[in-house]
Amino acid sequence: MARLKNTAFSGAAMHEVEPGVASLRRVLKEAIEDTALIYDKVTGENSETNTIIHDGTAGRGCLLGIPMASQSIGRSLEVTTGTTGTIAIVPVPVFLAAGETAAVVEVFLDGEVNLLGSTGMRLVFRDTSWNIDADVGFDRAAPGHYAAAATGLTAGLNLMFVQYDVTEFRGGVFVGWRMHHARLRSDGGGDARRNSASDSTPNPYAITRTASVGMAHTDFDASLLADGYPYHGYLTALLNRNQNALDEYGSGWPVGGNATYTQADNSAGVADDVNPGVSQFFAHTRSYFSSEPLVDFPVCVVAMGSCGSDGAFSVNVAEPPTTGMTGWYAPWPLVITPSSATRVRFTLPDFPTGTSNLKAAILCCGNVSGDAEDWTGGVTTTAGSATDAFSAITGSSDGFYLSEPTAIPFTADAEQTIEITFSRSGASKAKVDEIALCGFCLYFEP
Amino acid sequence: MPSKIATSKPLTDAQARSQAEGSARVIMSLAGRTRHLWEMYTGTSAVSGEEPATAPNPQGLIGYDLSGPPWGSAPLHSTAYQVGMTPVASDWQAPGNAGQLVAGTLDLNNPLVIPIPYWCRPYEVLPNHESAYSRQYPTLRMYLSSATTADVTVRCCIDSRADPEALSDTFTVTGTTETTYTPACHFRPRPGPQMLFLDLSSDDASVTVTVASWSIAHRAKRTY
Repeated sequence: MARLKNTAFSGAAMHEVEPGVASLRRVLKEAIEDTALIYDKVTGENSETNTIIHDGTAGRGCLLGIPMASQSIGRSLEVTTGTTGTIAIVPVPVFLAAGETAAVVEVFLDGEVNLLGSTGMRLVFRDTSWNIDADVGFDRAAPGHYAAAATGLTAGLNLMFVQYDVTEFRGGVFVGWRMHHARLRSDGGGDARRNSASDSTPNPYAITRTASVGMAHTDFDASLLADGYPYHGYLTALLNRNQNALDEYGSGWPVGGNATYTQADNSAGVADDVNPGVSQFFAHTRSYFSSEPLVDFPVCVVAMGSCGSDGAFSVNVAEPPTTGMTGWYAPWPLVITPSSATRVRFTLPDFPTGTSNLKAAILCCGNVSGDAEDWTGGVTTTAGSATDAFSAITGSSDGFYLSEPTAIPFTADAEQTIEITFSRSGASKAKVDEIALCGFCLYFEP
Repeated sequence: MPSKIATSKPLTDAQARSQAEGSARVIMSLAGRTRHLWEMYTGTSAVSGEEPATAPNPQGLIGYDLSGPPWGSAPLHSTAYQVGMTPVASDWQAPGNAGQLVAGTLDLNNPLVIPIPYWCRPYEVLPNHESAYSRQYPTLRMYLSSATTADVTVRCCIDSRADPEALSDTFTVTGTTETTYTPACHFRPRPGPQMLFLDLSSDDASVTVTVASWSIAHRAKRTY
């Protein structure tokens, strides 16, 4: 079978479809071939590799623009008399999705920080080899509200620091912070159609057939449009149905603006809002299409406390500490097998769980003797766990360490408990300041 | 004028079948929808060097961005949070009560108000807050200082604690074991930046309610 499919978009010129113009077989053929190409790019079927992965490059789908952080802190940033040096109040790993090269970080403080100069509050991005990708000062957007935009970043895992010289800060509370891509359409409405939940009129715009999951599609052989064959309803009606299916699959709304979906939820009556395995819409779930493109997706960035910009503790090495930034410092384990560091309920999307693409990066600071590398970081969810030993970030003068657990088991489309875990080899800690948890991020990366 | 036709208008079977009227609308739809679908899925103008024939999405970009209909099914995920530490004081050295970090505490005389610096993922605004991202539900991990119960009221405020349209719910917190609670109220954020306020109050002065951690998330992928 010579399946009709274009290798690139063709379309039809305006003069080829105007009233009064003959409807050419060539125009119909191009429409069939374009539709087949779109279907393959969306589903990954027929060995299509140029699929929709939302990386913003030509033909690969719009950037998703998922915000990366929105964290409330509520801790004091006061430092005791005599404290000096540059302290990072947000020292975290950050995952930038493919195609993203800029980010806005906004910090909310109950207090005033000197913004100017190299010792004022700054936003620093480094790669995991400790090279600086961006170093920009914050602007005061409003009293207590500071914003900085970093550009020229590299997609993937980065290290981010919001830092200032503590002689510049006059005291206050760290209310919280947020991080995003600051893309927002200027108000002007859109072409949003109305979907009345109370109207159950059947949708008149049919699809090829009702698939149990995923999307149905009819392929067309080249012989159907050979010379001498009629231009008939088999082609026009089924092509229309293919397009109706793609319309609903992608938009998530009934085709034609009708009240009811044509691509209904699973015929067994299970909605994909509660069972990601029966997704009827474009969502990168691989619930039906085994080669459906998967996407990068940041889940969260969480700061756990401050540290020195060189990886030193922001407090004195004592248990408990009595000097430094004693209200907001990176916590450290007291025993070699502590209970999990954090426990929080997060909802995770309906991405494939059989081969998990959920990853984490756990950033710690520590002493320079290398004891931090005796520690292992991990992530535990209700579905299982994954761990990775900490390793020094080259170039950070052995001040920072990173653990990167991968293939973390998770439950799709569900809220679940997520814990950050620590463990150490050996019988006991060698030093108090071996390792302290600065922050972590979770993300999906195929 | 675009060089290639684009339209989002579908056809019924009756319009596309054999022996149906040979209207130009048929070929216009079949040919024009390929450009519309191409640009929506690929996020790229179908004709190099030409403005796209489709409207911008809530981000101001082109194409489906999975922000909720009509821009695609929205993935479920948490959008704001406050993370605490496991309450085993002997395991971790951390600032806060008994060596642990918590989101906050409250009782009858000391309500807890948590400001949330929030950037709501841009979405298409629909009537009655039907958009997926327009309803963000809190989930809280809480426990009491003693083996009893306390009624906690949660208000989901936007821009100010005095938000007159804040939704609220009252539920019972029980015992000293950290437990998950999902109040039946939600924030209704607008696209873009704003400050949310999670406002919690208790009916009992004799017991302290600890909020260990919380997060918020939408619960629908398309519309409510």
